[in-house]
Amino acid sequence: MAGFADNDVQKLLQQAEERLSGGRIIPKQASTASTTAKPVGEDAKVLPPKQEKTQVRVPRPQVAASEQRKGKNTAGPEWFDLPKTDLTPEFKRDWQLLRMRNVLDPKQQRKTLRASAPVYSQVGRIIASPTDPYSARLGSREKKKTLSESIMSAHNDTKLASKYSSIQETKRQGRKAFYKSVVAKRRKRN
Amino acid sequence: MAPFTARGGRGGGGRGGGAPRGGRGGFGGGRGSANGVRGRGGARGGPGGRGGRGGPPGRGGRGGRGGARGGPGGMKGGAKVVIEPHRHPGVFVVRGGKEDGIATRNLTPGESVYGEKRISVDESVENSDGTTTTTKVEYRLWNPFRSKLCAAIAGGADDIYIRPGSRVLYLGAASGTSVSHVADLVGPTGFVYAVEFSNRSGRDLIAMAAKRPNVVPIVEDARQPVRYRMVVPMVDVIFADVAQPDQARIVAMNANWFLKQGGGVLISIKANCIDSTAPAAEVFASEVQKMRAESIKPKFQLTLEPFERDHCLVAGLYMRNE
Repeated sequence: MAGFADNDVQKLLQQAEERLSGGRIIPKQASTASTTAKPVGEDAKVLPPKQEKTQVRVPRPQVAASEQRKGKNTAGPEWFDLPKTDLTPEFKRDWQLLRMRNVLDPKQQRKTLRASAPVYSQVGRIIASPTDPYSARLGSREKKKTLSESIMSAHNDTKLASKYSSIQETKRQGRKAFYKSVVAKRRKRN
Repeated sequence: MAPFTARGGRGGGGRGGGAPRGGRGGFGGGRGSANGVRGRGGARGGPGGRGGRGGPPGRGGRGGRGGARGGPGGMKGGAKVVIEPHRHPGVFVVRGGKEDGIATRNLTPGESVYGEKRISVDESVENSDGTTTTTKVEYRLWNPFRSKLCAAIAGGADDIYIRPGSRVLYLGAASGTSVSHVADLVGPTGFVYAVEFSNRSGRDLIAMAAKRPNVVPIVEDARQPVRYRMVVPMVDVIFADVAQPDQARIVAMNANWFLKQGGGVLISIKANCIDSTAPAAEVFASEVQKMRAESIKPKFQLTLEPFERDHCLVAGLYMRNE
């Protein structure tokens, strides 16, 4: 590497920069030839015809799949043109509620969803079949327009409240009585 | 490319297995599924305290057969859900209700194949003259307890190779419940060649295929691909769920006839059907060895544990000339 002067290195770097920036491709010069191959003078004579073949690869910018689809209105043919999410205030609220479903129903463990609403999505309604049992259908009054509305109407907060109060009760009971029992045990031992 | 990895096997202990009533089944936390779609456990009493879903309660382990009554996790008829694209092309995630589900876009709107739940979406498109036209789009929920492919997707398969537009040779199609979902997945530009030997199941398969132009039902023995060679062209993917001791040989033969170089192979292995005396893990390992010998390069293996017992799905690529 010590074979060429600082001058040459500077020039080469400049050329490389130009190439990387996607500008015109500068054909290789004789001076660059010596850098690629052995820096010995004899070999340089043989090399030039080879250099005509070697092309500088212009790097194509790698774009992530999500970036590629930016600005497109559908998720593409891979997902049968699923349209972009209609980001209404109702949908945003629905998504927020979906994210917090673990809080609403702590017994059911589900994956936490990402904070941002999906880029491509649709809101649909499950078709009720007449052969379904009644427990698997919603009555006409239970059908709501949005997810949040249905959660609000179906959520049983007395269950959570009673659970909370029962826990509190045991905790409150424990404080004084528990301590007293500990002391009594200690006295018995002595 | 990541080397062949054997995954799963964890979390199997005692889950829904030995318990006389099928136990409670999976806890979602540890499974690391693909897109938040988590598995439900084994036979858990259906809604309203009916016995195990569809089957007698004593069967344990699997709960799925006999219609998707009640639908996944409290997705009741008339409820609102959000549909998102899944990581795998052609597959969708349904969020809402008690649990998330997997769905495919229905090729034949207005019809269920085996009583599965459908989701209707009004898609409105604005025309050039300012008016809007509304079309109805339907999705069908895919039950991982009834389909091994769906179980694999829910279990977090790396790649299912099947995507819109691909041609799939489906060995062991049975009544065509899974095939209908694969047909949805490949869409109108793809093709599914469904091979089933049993006449009884073949009848249901043909009835299903009658409504789907991209399904070609073949009631023939998968051991003799010569018999249907005139019907099946070169395919992109072979999915096999034949549950025969010589499964690897059957797949290799079909791959030799129909599968393109570098095409995907998905084999669902039921340990009991190959060798009921050996431990499941050994059976899987020996099957993978057989696949290797048949120039199928295994890519990943995953257990279908919360959905099926002692089953695994092995995926590979067909490398004929290597």
